[in-house]
Amino acid sequence: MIKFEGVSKVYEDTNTKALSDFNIEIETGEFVFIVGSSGAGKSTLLKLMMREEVPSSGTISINGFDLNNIKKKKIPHFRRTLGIVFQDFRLIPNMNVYDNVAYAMRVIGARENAIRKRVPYLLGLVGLNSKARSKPNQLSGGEQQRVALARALANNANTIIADEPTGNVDPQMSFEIVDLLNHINADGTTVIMVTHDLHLVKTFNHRVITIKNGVIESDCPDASHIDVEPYKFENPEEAVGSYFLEEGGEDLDYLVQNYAGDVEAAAAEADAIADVVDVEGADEE
Amino acid sequence: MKGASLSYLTREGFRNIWVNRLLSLATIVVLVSCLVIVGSGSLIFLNITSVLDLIEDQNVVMVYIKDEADKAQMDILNGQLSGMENVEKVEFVSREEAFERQKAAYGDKANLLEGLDANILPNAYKVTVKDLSQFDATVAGIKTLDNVLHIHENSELAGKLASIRNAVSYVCIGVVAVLFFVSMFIVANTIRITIFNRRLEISIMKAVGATNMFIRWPFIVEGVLLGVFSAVIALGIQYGVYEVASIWLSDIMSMLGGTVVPFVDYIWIIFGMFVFIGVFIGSFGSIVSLNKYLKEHSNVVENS
Repeated sequence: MIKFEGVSKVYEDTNTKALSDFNIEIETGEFVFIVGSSGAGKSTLLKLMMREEVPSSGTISINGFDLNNIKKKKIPHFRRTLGIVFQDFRLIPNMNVYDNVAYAMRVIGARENAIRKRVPYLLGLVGLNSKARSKPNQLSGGEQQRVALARALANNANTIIADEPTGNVDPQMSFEIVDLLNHINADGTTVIMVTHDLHLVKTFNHRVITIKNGVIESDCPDASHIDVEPYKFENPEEAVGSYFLEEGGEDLDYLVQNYAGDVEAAAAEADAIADVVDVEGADEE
Repeated sequence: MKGASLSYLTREGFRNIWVNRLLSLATIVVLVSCLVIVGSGSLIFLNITSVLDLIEDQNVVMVYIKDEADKAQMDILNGQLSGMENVEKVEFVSREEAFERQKAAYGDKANLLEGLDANILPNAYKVTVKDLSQFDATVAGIKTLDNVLHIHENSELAGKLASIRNAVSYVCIGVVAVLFFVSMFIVANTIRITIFNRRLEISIMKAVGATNMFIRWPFIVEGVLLGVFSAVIALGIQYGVYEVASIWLSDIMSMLGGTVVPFVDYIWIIFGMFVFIGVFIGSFGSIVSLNKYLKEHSNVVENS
């Protein structure tokens, strides 16, 4: 659970008021979009959540940690309850996909046999088992972000904080990434995603907190107030993308959203794609 | 820290040296240069002090004994002299021995001493002093002893030698200290660059909840390893440089009546000093630079 009560943040060196009287409560298992223009206070909000900054006034409590009074040596333990995904992926270029994910476990002292079990599971979850030995520069933007997502999940974080995770990828990949976050959220993980992409917000239709000039402009339970069209793809394969094909399974929810509620058409497309995958799989065998 | 983590982070330290090999090489070059200069300063100091030791060994106080002193009193005096703190050695010089030396010193003019015998000279003790800076106090102490007729000493030479030794010591310590801090500064800055190059890894480590000790450990390992590598390389270079320098240094030393201090006599001391300085500068440089970086720059949200 994340709770901000009357939080204000003033950067004293520049006398900038970044947030004022911020009150939010995010329950465990929620999916929340945070939107707002540049300079609205999103970065400050993330810094406060990460305990990189302390509030000038008000209290913050996240996952049972009182961030106002947390001891310095406890901060790393608090951060292990969070998984962070950045816009620029932040993968280590000279490490392959497997090692990038394993790195997050290694640097907190996980045992090698635990790493050997968990990393392939996570790579399977994001559909990248076949790319385990690839270097980041051999992957597309979407794939790199999926690696970053796997890394964020490596230490069993119960909250994912995604800072504009789709900022550097095309719409199709963006859709895949948020869909992945949606799946992770469905398993009970809290997801907080900062984004500028209102089409995505509209498409996935979760709680939306809008920040403007350091204050909460609105906090709505869904995206009905946002006046943009959700993403639609002409071709379901385009929408489903490499993730689905790699998994080789059916993902009706996924297709349903792209077909704007036309379940039958989506199901038909899913069957068609699954058949193609099965045939390809049989050929390979 | 768990054993498995320690071994992983130590391996990371080794790996980082290879991954950042250009900067590792730059650190080693700086460290080796500083160590060789420090080593050269130390070897010059050793040679100068060996010459000073040689000259000092020849600087003695002649303590002449009263004629009326009997054998027992002379033995007591010998015991008192030997028991003094700053006395290295006491040798008895009989009047006969002194007379013979005198005759030998006169050479062709020894006939001037004809008709005289050894009784014109007193018995004496030849006292070698340990520390020339304490020379005057030692002489004053000897003067207070019983049965001392007269003292012959060269306090001026003693004073000069003591001041030369002090000056050489201060200059060498000063040069080594300055070089030590210069090398620490350069190495700390070189390591800062490697840290800056790896800000991505540090920000990821912080983001996933690595403790500060986990973040520091690979850098400390790296600093220690670079220190050890540099010490080994510097020892080899120092040996070569010293052997070449010995060729012309031996001429100067023989003119002063001494020989060049052999490198092998001090090889382990020099190696120990190099390893200590290398490891200290390497690890300390890493810790200082990393602490400064973590304090000033490392930011999980904005670092990229």
